[in-house]
Amino acid sequence: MSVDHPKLPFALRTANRLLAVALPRDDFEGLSGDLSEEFDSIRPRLGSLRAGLWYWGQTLRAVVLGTGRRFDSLREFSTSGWGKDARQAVRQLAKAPGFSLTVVLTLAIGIGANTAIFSFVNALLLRPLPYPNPDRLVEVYGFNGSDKTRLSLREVNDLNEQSRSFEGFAAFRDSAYNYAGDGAGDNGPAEHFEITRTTGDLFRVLGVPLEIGNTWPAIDDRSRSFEIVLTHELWERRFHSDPSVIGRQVLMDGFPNTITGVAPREFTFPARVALFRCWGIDRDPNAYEQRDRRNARAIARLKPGVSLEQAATELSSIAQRLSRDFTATNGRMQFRLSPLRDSYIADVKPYLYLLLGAVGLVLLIACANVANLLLSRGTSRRRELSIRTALGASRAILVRQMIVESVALSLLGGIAGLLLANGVIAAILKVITVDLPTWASVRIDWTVLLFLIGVSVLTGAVSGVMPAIRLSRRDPREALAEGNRGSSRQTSALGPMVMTEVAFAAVLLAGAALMMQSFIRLQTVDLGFRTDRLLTFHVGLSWRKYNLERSTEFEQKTLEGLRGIPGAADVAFTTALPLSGHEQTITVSLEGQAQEQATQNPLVYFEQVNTDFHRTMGIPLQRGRLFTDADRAGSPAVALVSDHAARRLWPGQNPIGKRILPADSFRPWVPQWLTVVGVVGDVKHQSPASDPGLDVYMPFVQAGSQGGDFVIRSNIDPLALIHRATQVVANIDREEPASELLTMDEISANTIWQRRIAAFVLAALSVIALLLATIGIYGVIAYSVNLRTKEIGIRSALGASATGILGMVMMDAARFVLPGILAGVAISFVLARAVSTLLFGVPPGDPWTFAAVALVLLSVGAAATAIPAMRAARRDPLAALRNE
Amino acid sequence: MGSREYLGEFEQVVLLALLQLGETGYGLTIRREIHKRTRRSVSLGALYSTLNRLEGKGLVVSWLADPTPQRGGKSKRFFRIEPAGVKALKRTQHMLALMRRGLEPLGEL
Repeated sequence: MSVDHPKLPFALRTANRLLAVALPRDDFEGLSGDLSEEFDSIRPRLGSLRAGLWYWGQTLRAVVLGTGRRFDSLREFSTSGWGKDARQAVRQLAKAPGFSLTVVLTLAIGIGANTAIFSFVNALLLRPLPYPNPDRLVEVYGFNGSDKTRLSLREVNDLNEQSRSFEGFAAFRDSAYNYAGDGAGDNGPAEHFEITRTTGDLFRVLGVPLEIGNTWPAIDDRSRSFEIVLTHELWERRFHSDPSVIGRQVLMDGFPNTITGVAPREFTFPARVALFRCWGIDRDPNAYEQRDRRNARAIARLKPGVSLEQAATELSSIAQRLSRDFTATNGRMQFRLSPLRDSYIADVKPYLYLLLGAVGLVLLIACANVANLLLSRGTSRRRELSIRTALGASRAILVRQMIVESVALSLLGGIAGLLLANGVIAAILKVITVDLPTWASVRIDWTVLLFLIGVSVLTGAVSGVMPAIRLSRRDPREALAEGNRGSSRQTSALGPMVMTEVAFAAVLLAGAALMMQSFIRLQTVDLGFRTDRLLTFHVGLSWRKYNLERSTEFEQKTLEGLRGIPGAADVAFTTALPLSGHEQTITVSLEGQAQEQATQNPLVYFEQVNTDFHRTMGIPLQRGRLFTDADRAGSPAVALVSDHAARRLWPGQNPIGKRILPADSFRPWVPQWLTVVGVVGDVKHQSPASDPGLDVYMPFVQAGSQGGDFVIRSNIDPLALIHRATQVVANIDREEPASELLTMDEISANTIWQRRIAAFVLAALSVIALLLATIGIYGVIAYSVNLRTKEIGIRSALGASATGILGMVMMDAARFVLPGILAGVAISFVLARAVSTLLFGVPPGDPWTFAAVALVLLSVGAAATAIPAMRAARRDPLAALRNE
Repeated sequence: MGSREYLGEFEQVVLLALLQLGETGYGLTIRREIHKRTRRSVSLGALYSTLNRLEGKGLVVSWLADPTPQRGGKSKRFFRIEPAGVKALKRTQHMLALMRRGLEPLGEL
């Protein structure tokens, strides 16, 4: 008998194993077959999740009912024991609906928050990438000195030929094209497409076979070739899945490109693109021979059994060899690799772990609260428990029953938490303004569901076990005599738990406070330019239609048109806008430097800009002059450098009048010596958290550039200018559309989206934690005041003042609230150091933050204690004593 | 297993479904037959539990067919009603008819 059905999902195979254990062979054979047959027939209609739930429902019922003759005694045990406990538990919970609802809601918050964050962890960190053997896929990149850099195609091929750790390499880069159909099979309108330029090996390295057709031979990647592989989506949309597209030609940027294949359904790489184009060569016939033409990202597949470390060692030795053989280009070049998944999520990972830790703490606080509630309620059930003990129930049976009760509660909390998690996931996805990796769909799948069930059961057991053990540890005679009252001794267990709660709440609050401050500082950090009221957009010009002269003309016309828009105060053009991701760094040589020395120069950002650029962006002039209209084509070539660049390139010297030669192999102009005429302020290029880069600017009319970013500083809401701006570009050339229309504020916010979400989710969690802690403190104090009614009555009868009693209760609370705060602050002090890389502008040990956290918790503790304490102080001593 | 024994309500439903199905009765088809005629959803566990009981009383027999790939490689367990099953069903139906006699004015029960 085989239990496993290889096609069944893991969760259903688990159900099958359960059935195999619980049922006699014949029953299992028939029933399991029936289940999988029906599952297959209802799945298309109901979807996998509902069909799977049906499967599990049927399985559990079959197991509980017991269908046969095997394990008769076990069944006896299970129904007479756990089954009865469960029924008993349901009765108990129904008897106290208010109590049950409180517990269920508390747990729902804890479990729901965990499930929501776990869904993200599952989607981004756990679920395998959708390629065969994804753990063998790596991205290979370079370090030129201390600057992270892409590779050149030549280097990728060097690695491919010289290494033995890898099965294969592929190079790719993102690109964009204006696409027009072929007029035969595709009559649709022209469109602007994001595409991936790639070597033909991409699909083989990823292990993804094409739907139809083939890629291109490797030699085409090094020549002027125009071949494309369509995505399945594009094939369907524009060619109605016609298999005869192979060999047909479509126009991209005016060039005919031959379709050689179609990718399988859903496949796209590395982000969502419309098609894959042969790497090829655009202009420079010698492009392939340039080892420093580094515009390629590279992926590779490790051979089976080769570890990352082994591969890294081999890459280092190849880098050494290349640095010896090609000193000019590879003198300082190192190769590194990282798992492919990390190239997508390396910048999100630490935040995910942070949030996972935070929701874990919230769940622990919820557990502590529920344990308190169970204990309080259990104390009032003491009489019932004692009677059962007296009638012969063993302690184990009582403990088991109480744990079954708390697990039942917790499972209900899990169901409510599932609903909550759904909402939280949707809310978080809504505020994520960037694209998540295409393979990461955040949803509640089987893994998340199993996690939820596991967490629910565990939560129930954890919060139930302590109260169960404590409550059952009683001499029945004593308890019967005492009735449902109890003494202050019963509260001794509650103190440490509230202390833990307060401590955890302090940790969360401190974390949220530090993250929130970092986020606020990042938003107000000086980027080196003003982001307000700036509208930006990108225009990429086809190099077939636009030579240098014509593109400069296009850009000038566009600037003129933009100036005419009502509301536009200043307009600017740059080849690479800060924070836009369009920037590239290049190497430069300085006048009087030997070639050997020049390779040691730091990489700089090189931007070609218009005369008004610095004024429009609000980048201040520090020395010399800005560009003027006199700096035009034919006049002496000039440059502006940033303060930082001036200090690094000419330390201790006056940079004005110095000459610099950009070695820009990406642009179609002949490099020329530039004379520095001024120094401007530094600008941040990666994100507000990054260090400012080194900048070299030159007038675009002196260099010529093929498209870039336009900037409008407006007097009004910049978004109101979008329509007019697009119109201006369309009027000049309808085939070169404006894209990426964003305000500078949006661009800047997108660079710190992980921090924004982390800060707000943490803030929400710490509010929840504070609320739970408040409820916890209140509950325990109220409960202990109740238990001590008699004692307090006697005290006031003997002359204790109301303030005295108030003080006594407050002191009682302080006994565990204060150590809780101290412990919490100490823990967060240590933890903050661990996450210090996520902080910005605030030291991990910021005393003000910790003082504020302590103060908030102190006030919360005082507020939560005050109500029951005042009630105790005001109580009439005679009434209190009479009640006894 | 005395001959005086009567069938429970669900046992009757299952036996009637088996009669309707003839030789093609196995867990899933029986469940579907009951659902088709009565709109009542029964769990497979409950169904097998009843079928096992009926087999124990000698009212039905079951046998495993050859495994098929569609069902995850699992065999169908077919059931057929035995003459004793038909007899028990008749006896129970007759008993119910006797109990209804004289109540016709109330309409069809």
